[in-house]
Amino acid sequence: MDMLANLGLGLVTAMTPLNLVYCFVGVFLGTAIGVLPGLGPVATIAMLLPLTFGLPPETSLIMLAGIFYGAQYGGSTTAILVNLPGETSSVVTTLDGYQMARNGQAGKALATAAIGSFIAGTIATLVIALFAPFLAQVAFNFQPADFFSLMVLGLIASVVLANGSLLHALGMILIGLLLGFVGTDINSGVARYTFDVPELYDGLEFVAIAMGLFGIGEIIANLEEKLDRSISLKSVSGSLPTREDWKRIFWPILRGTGLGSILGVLPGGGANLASFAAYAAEKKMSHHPEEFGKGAIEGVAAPEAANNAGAQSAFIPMLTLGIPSNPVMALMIGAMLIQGIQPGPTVMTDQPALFWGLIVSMWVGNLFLIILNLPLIGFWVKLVSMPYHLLYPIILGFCAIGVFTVSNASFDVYLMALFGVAGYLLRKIGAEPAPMMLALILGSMMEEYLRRALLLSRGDSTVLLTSPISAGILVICVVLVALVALPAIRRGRDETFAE
Amino acid sequence: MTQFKLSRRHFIGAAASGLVLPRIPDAFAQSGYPSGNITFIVGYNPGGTSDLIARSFGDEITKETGQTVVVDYRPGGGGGIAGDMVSRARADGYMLLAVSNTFYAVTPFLGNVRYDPLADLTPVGFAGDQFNTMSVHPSVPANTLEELIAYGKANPGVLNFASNGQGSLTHLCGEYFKQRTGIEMTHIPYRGAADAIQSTLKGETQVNFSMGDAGYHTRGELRGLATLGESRWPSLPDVPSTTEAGLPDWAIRSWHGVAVPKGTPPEICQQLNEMMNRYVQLPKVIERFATLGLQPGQQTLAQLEERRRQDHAVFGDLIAKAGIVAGSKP
Repeated sequence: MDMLANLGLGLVTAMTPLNLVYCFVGVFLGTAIGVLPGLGPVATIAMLLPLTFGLPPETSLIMLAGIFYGAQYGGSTTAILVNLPGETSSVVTTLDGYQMARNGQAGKALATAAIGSFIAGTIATLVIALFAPFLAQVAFNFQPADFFSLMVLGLIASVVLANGSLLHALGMILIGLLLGFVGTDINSGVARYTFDVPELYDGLEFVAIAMGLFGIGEIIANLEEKLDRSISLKSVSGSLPTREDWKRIFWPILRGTGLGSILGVLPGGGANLASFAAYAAEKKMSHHPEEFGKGAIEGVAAPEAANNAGAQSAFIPMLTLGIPSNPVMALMIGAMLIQGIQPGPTVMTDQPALFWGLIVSMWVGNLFLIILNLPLIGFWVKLVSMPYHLLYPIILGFCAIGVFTVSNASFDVYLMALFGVAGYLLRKIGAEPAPMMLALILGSMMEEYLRRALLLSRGDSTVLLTSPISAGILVICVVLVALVALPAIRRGRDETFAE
Repeated sequence: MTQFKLSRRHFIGAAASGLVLPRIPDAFAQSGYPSGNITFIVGYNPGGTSDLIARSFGDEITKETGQTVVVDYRPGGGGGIAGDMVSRARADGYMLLAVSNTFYAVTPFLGNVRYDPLADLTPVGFAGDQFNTMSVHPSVPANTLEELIAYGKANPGVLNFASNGQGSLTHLCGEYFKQRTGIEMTHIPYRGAADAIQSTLKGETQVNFSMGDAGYHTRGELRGLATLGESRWPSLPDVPSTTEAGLPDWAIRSWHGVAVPKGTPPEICQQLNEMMNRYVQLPKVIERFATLGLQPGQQTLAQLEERRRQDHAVFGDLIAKAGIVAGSKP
């Protein structure tokens, strides 16, 4: 069978000593930054990017990917133990995970999160192995019009599924699109919104903006809140899940994995969305919803499975279509370009060892995480209980180095500072910056594809509807918008997100 | 930006230089150059032709003089940011710029660059000419350049040509081809050579001027019609040159080299020129350059000067004639 041969090739690639070492380094670093609030995978990957120049392509991608899904792990460890989600995707885990820890079941909660993540990671690996070749096949037939419509779908989905006010999400998307216009127009060569600043000719550096909005913004908010960080960790108590617990978490893990795998593929979906959705779904389906928020084990298992599955399936659009669904994937594309590899459907055929090696390495990395993290829990907690006045300057320093290294431009460091303030203000008015980030990343690509489609059709805009793929995707967009517009469904959505 | 701004790489380089024992061969004892670290600026992301040239030359400079060469990437603005930076650097021979002829002859016409490419940069080294092959998607019913021209004339509005971006050399190639042959083709710009090649492989565009992997041709995924210029590309010996195919004096060639800020002492320019001309004859350098379709060659300072002025005039004329618009030039 083809799939087995492919996975075999991947296993051989992932198991070379060099790749194993870098996979380990990746997941270890990922866990560390997942634990630390304010320092996310974007900053870390940006910082390490120059180090990957000298590595073989598959090794560099294996390490960078490890940072990303490792961060999901680290984020949940602190969410459970000290009620501090290191990553947005583990916010939900604090709800029941921390309660479990307070009930003396910290060990069980951590084990549940680890097992859930591992099972999800394993299944997601298989899902990618099954569907990616199919998608790559489809992607070969994608025309510019189809790419454009797909990105419209991604943006609409991110509005529909965004957490919080619809109006805010829409506003954020529009701002992101406008920011995406900055720079030299690819079709005419005209410089737009550059104010004669040469640093703006190639557009705004999204790494600087992402780190400003998410990293610096969070630091400012944390400083304002004067968080009590005097965390004393009671010994991690509690046993592994019992037979009874296994019964309770078995289906939630599978459902979480399913939701995560699907939402992760959507541009703009990914791990964050998946964990929220999985939690909401479990609460609805549970026979004892009253336990949720008070230490329900399902409330840990499902979102943890979902965010891990989502983190992995987010690689599918990047690897098969060359479309980044979040800032991390945009950086991964950058890492591939540096190595002279063009992301897109040809990666699988031209670089099978890289493609399958990366996918299997995610499974290997998950194995590392489960084996390593239980003994290291004490270490992670020490890391997070470091006084914030020591921690935040370090994080700021890392962010500044990370931004600077992307293109050796001090301009980008100022840009990050500016967007740090913007991120803080957005937080204040309750607007989520994630849709803006996605619009910034997809915006310029969308414009490029639309104009290319129109150039190829000699200006005939019906090409968006005459191409069957594009037309199909646009129909889905319309359905999504209609769903949100319907009052009944809207109420349901508000309730779900009222957690 | 100040002169004494200390970048990360400078810092590392400075730190490292303390550890490198000075080994000054006789030839350098006289002029005393180079007696410190050299920074080699690359105006694009790592991994491209300029990067390869900077690294290859950098390695040789280190081998010969014992001085550390730090490769520093300043991507952006079609190389304009790096050009601007080097044009304002101290003219002492310690900052080199990996350049292609677009720095002199294309970017200044299209980008908002703050330097005068002919006055502010002095070419000192030549790396090589780059082979570009004009190719078509296999579905195009043309096996020769002549047949393509005939097909294009008989079917106006059908052909699209891919370029590596607005104002790129491949864009100029397409416009030049249209002007010389009178056929009609629609320009579809992409972000870089890889995207452009991909589009022709898919059949989204029909004509391509990029230096693609020779493998595409041998596998029949692209049909090479002519290699631009006077000679054939050794990797594609069966594809004729444009001269052989009936389009002599193809004006647009892409070449790569090294430049320094204006006002650099002539003896240092001369020394650098001799060094580069020696390096391009080393088997190791020839082999590395071949991977990117670079045909190494030697040029004196006067030849380089002549060549860039010629390109500046020809390309500038072509850009104006083809109506390739620039950003608002102040």
